[in-house]
Amino acid sequence: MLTSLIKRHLLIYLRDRWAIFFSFLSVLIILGLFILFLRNTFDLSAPDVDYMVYAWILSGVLMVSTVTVPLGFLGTMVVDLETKRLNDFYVSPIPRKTIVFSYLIAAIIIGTVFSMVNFIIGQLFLLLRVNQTIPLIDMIYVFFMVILSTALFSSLFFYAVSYLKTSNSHSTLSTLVGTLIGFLTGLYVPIGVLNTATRTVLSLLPTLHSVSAFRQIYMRDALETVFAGAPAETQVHQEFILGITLRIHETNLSLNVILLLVIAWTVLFSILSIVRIGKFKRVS
Amino acid sequence: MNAIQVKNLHKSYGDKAAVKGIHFSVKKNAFFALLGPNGAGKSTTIEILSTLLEKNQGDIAINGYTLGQDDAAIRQTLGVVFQYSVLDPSLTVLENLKLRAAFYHLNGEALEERLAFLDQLIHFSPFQDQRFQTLSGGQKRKADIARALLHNPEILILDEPTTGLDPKSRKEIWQLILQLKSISKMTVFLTTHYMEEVLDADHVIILHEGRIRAEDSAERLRIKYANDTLKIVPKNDLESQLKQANIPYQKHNTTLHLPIETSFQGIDLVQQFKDQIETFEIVKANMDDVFLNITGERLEAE
Repeated sequence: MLTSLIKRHLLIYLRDRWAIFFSFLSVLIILGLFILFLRNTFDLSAPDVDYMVYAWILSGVLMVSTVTVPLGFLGTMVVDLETKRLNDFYVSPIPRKTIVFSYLIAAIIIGTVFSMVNFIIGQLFLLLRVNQTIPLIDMIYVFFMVILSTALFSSLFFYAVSYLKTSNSHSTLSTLVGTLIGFLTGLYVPIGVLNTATRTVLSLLPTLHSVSAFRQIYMRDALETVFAGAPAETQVHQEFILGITLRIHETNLSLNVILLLVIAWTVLFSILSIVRIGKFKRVS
Repeated sequence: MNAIQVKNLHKSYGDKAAVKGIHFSVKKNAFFALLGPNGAGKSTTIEILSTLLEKNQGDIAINGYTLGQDDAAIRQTLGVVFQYSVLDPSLTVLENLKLRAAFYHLNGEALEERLAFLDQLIHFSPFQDQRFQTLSGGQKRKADIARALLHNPEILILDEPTTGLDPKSRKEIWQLILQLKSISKMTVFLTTHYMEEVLDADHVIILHEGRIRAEDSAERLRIKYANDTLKIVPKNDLESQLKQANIPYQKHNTTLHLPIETSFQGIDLVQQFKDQIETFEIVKANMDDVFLNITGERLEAE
């Protein structure tokens, strides 16, 4: 029953081309802004700097898609509630928890698959522009990071969306997130040039934790290449400016600690979601 | 055993009471109709019976299962056709049906057989590969009914199944429901605000403002609550003679309407006043009159 429900949700989302387009709108806007303006803020003429900058923007939009795709997909759940289509599931002998759970699982599946497509396109782009991809081992790490980040934002938005009653409110939430995500991840304005107060606030949010982990994995090879032979301070400074390192109280957190933070967020929102699922008793 | 047994059912939304302590039972295999205008509490009652909405008070048993305790078993025995379509617009009819069949662990050959059987009855195969959103109102309704019958339910609940359809589709869907009733042992529980649909039911409840106002077969309700009418076009001064004889009547333009208990009473009256009568007819009471006499309001159809 769970698998048929998940299949149904995926099929409905995949047949809604506009929903898919809007799920990727933020990614497209960030890429567009990058091509038009942001690219010019980097000096791409120095050797291998283009590899690093492309890896930076590609890891950023990859993380953004793990946020916006699950959120876009969860619109299906709101529409099902709004149009009373959920009632058809509720009069069937399926446990309510299974019904509600199916949306969460489907969000993770669709978010992971679409983000991996995004990742593959990014690698093809790298291959075209700088004649290389990131190393295979890092690709595998990125894959796990995609699953982890998608699980985090699927559970976060599942929890948030479960309070919404109309597709209008879902659109508003999507617009809000789509607008803010470029700032929250330091893609529009690099984290290192923000004032301390703003930076501290952003450093407390799961968005920066996730994107920082993505960057450290995705850009590992590029950073090693670019900063080979450069003074350590230069690399530390650049990594700080680009929001690769996550700095809290003047200390850089290690990748392991950041991953633990991401896992902790995922666990937190999964628990909140499960509690919420328990409360989905009778709706009408 | 009764298919549905409802005792002292109460339901309020905030401080607005929708259902105010109703009792009724529906026999197995019955064709049961719940009649009432919008806001009478019909949909609330249906949503409670189909396990969607929690009641405030009352005991309900469906096929011997207690509502609120054995909901999973109840859902297995119920087929529900909602007033609004609940199938997925972007999926084809067949995709919709196969997906829902999985909820009842119906698949493989058993599913194919069931679909073939339902198609013989409902004839959905001409449009089964079309997306649900492209169907006409009548076709959508057929698909909804096929969905409700997938698991061969013992009780079929239909919430205003013909509301919003064009007259031709309405007739077609109604014929389908009657046919379903005649070939199966299903209990059919229907809500409607169309009087002519009630006439086919063997058990009718009239619900008004959350309360049951009358309950019986359609024919008995008609006899009990509405008079036949003798309509007369008078020749001479019939009115004064009627007044003299103390016979009640109402004047509608040039016609006089006399309430009568039976057709024979009408014939007697015609005999008595035949010199003053140009022409006459005896009109049987209908369910609209029943509703008007019971509730003091006209039942408005759309």
